Amino acid sequence: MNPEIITKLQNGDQSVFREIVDGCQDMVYNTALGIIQDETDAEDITQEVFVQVYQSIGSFRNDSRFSTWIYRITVRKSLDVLRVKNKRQQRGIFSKFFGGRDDDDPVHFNHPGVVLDKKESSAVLFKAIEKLPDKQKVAFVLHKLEGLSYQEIADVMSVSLMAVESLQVRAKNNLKRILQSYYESHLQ
Amino acid sequence: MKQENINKKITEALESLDGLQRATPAPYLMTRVNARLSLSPARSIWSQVFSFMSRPSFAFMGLLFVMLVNLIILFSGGLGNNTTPIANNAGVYEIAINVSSNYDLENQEP
Repeated sequence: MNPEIITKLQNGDQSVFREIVDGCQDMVYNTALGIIQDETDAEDITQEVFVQVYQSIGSFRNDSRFSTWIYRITVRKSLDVLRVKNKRQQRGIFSKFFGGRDDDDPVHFNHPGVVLDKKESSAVLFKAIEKLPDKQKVAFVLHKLEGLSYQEIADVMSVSLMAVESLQVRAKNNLKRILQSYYESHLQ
Repeated sequence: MKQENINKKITEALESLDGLQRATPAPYLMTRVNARLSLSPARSIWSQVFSFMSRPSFAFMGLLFVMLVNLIILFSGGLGNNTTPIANNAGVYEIAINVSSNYDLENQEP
């Protein structure tokens, strides 16, 4: 992102906002989609992120990259929506009778960017990603879907590089465990 | 044999995101963002102040402050008010003796 564009927007030049949206919309939407696994919600989150970018551009300090700042807003908003959704599901009437979310829910999310012959496997993987703790989920999504390096992820999550490495290892181990359980019950 | 299959499936799943293309939002995102911006006014300093004041923690601190002020006033005897509670019942009786009733008025001795 051209630093001049950011400076112009901070100085009140509204016309450059379109350039920011055009330049960042894919990364915001893709990140939100990876975390929330729902296209409608990801679309809402994307719009909210850019509204906040527009309204809070004055608070952006050049102590971090602009993309890092946008990733942070996206991750925060995505996790907020996720928490509300999880609470709503837990309060669902059937959950009261059957004791919480059903782990045998069929896989339901297909990322549109996945290669065709890997759709089925990726749907199972996304189901497993859904069960990860928030920090592991974020670290995994930012690395696998956005291709961020561990250092970039550390900047976004405001943690150390070592913490990100630990999160990745734990995420992978948890995913293996979840996938093992899934395939044990679904493979004949 | 089954575990070998499972391991293979797990590896396939973990590698299924290789070569993934970024998802893109629906067209005309800018239009929708502008629509949201027009609905949500820019946050002025006052809206930020009121937003801060509406926080539960702020309300709780305010309540504590009011209770503290009330306690201070209660134990310091009010704001310079030197009246003391009526503890002396004699004053009450004194007032009662001086009150004349219709009976007294009708039966006054010459």
